[in-house]
Amino acid sequence: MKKTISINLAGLFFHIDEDAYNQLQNYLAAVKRSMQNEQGTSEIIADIEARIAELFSERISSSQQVITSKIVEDIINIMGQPEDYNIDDENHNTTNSEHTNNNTKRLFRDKENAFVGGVSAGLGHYFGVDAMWVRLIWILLVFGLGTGVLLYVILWCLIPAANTTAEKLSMMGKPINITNIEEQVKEGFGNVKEHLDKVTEKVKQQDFNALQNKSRSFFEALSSFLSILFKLFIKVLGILLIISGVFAIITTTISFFTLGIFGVTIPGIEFESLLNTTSIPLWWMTIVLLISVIIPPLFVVFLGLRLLKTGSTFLNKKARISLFVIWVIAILHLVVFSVLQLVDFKEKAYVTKINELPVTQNDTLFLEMSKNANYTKLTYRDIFKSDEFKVYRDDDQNQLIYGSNIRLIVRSTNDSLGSISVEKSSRGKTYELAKERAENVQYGYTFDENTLILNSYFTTAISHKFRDQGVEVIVTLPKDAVLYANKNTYSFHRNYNKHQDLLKNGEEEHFLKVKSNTLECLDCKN
Amino acid sequence: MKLENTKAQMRKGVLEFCILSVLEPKDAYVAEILETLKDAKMLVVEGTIYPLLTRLKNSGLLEYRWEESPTGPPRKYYGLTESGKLFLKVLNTTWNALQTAVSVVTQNQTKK
Repeated sequence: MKKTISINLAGLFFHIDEDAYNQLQNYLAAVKRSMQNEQGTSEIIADIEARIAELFSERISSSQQVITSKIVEDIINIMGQPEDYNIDDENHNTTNSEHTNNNTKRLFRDKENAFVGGVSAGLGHYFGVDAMWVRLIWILLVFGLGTGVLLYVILWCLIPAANTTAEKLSMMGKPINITNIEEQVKEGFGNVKEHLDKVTEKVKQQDFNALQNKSRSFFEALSSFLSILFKLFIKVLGILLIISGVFAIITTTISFFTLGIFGVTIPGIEFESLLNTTSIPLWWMTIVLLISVIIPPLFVVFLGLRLLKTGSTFLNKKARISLFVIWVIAILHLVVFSVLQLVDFKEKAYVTKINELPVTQNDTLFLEMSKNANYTKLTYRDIFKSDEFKVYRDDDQNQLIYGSNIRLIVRSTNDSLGSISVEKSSRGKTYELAKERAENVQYGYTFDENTLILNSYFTTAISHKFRDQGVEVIVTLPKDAVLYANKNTYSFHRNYNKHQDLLKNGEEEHFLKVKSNTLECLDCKN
Repeated sequence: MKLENTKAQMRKGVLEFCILSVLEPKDAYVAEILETLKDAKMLVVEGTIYPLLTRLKNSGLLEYRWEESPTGPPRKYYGLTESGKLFLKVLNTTWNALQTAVSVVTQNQTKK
């Protein structure tokens, strides 16, 4: 026994089975959809309905008065699938390409089963696993340095939502044709029906199974409470994301402006020539850096906005994708830049020059650091800027790199005469380049009347760039000579024991007698 | 490239021409047009013809009138307009030229 429905098709009256009716309705709707681009769709539909009515009436006899789903199927076979109604060559091609994609799954966001944006549910469909597992991985990733959040946002922006039935089907990996659309619709009806059944069942159970019902209603209350809590949590998360994103954008922008004013823009040309090996101009690098830093918090803000107002998009998909692409390009730029930069630091070369120091046994050597008023006012180094590099102009207005990366080491020898060794070092792409740079490090000292004055700085032409240049000065004294180091040497021989330096920090301004591998203080109090 | 697609596209290309040709001797309603086309194996499913007819009508090549039918609902009888006749004439020459061209090409191919 089946329920029938009476319909009016093109002015004719038919009895039709309920399932056949649903089938026909789906078919006509699908046909209508496939002709969306056509002009005069309603007229065409009217013609089609008239034809179907005609075909129906051909099939109706006194023994067969009701339209069954068998008849509807026959008619659909005669009329063709919805795709066949599409006569535009252009459209035809697109439907064809969709056809080829039909059987392969496509990644969509499943908004119907979404917790946040439907990414997990969509991924679950795509990989054929339960969405819960995907969500679990997200949660783990969130705890693992928060990479999950960023990745989620990116996927959210990139993966389109499944809006149409066709998209939903290809998300599930089923081919799109009328039967499957029908199935989908039926499933939808079925869900509603199931729901109603459940409700009636619940009502029934209330009568004779109060206890079970109680526990059930308790769990239902709990789950609804949890879902409210979750929604609240999502909103709070949204607000937090917006706040943190905006904060990050503001602070990075401010820091870039201050960097631009104090670090890059004004001495910028010098800075560039100091560091930059590549032909990429500095302003370009600054923009690239700014882009790569600003875009992620921008996405965080978008995510926050979306969490607060579900279903709304604050940037269209194209804008989001292009933002993301720009970000990736910026990051790649930075990577290339750093690699090029690193390559120029690859090899290290040393150039050593040893000179005699006319200091013999029982002589007293006074050791101090000099300063150059042009370069710095201080002879001692700032603790935090011990490897300071600066650009100065000399008297002829030539630009010079001035560095204070000087290491002082005192050692003893069994020879009767002292010596001074100056080792200059630098880095470069090749050993030759590094060596050339090292040779071009200008460093000097003076020795006069038992007083050795070491420069507290070195200089090199700006064309040699900052490539980790440094100078190591080893003062070797014969045994039984006496050393008196000025206090201003202090900062040039920190970590003395690491460098086998006999002159200890704190023993400056004392007369120290050179013994083998040690210095003996002559005028210390204890 | 699917064979079915190519076949369908070939058919669809000449379908307009065929519809106009069917209507040249006398006006007809959709079922009659369909019957002729299906007998000639020009058409597999009926669906394609409806948007085509509407399109031809909208571009002024076809016109229609309603006629009562003895069995079912009133029928749309389609006929060629003056510009439709002219259009068909041009298409006829084009078709003949095309047919010759295609047969020349395909026969050359088979000779090789």
